Amino acid sequence: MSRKEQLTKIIYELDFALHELNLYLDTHPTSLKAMELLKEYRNKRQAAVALYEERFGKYISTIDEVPAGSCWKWLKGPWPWENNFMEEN
Amino acid sequence: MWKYEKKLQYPINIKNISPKNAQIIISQFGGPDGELGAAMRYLTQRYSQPFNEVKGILTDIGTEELAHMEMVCAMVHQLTRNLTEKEIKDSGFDKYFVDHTNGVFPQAAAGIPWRAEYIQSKGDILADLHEDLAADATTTKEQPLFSKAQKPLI
Repeated sequence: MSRKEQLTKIIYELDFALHELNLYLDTHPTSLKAMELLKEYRNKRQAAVALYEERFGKYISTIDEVPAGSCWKWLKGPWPWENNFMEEN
Repeated sequence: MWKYEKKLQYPINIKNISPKNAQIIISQFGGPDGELGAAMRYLTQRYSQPFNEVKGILTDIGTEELAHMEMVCAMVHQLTRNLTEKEIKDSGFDKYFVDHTNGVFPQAAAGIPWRAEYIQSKGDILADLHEDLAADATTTKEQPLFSKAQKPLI
């Protein structure tokens, strides 16, 4: 597994955990433990994305992206439902 | 409102085509217990809910179902790309192909288009939450078809 794949995997895993904590907090809104975990994983995700972007450029293209260069990068494929999305992004 | 994140919740990268499997998997998109119905169910029921906890979770899981729908559609799309005429006919995909070619259309495995009757939105918290529990229980029914078990399924 390349460094890029490793970091991507870590970010996906943290996104999964963050989403589950979000759902848990919806029905347990006073759980201090869940709120602490959410903060912890959010910081970890931020750190992982920073590491990724240091070496490989912008992590995920979003519509909020600041236009740079001569082409609107949002359109760059492959799109998520296409083969090799992970390899080429 | 929603914002699109240009990624799948879990990556899908299918190497080998299989129009036969695509015809079964498509039910998880537009079938009676599919992700489209799930998303519509939660995102419509939330308006009449009296509690913030329920408004919050229906919004968040309704949103997540859209992400699931996107993954299932990605599977159908990747399983049906670059098909030859022989592959279309031999797999039985011809009955789908005649109407939709390789477009991804919300339907059940047996060809019934997605129907709004698959969901309920009754404006009653108990009726709606019971329907959500019933809907959730259906998700365990789809899995045995793809297991390696040799015993009769039912």
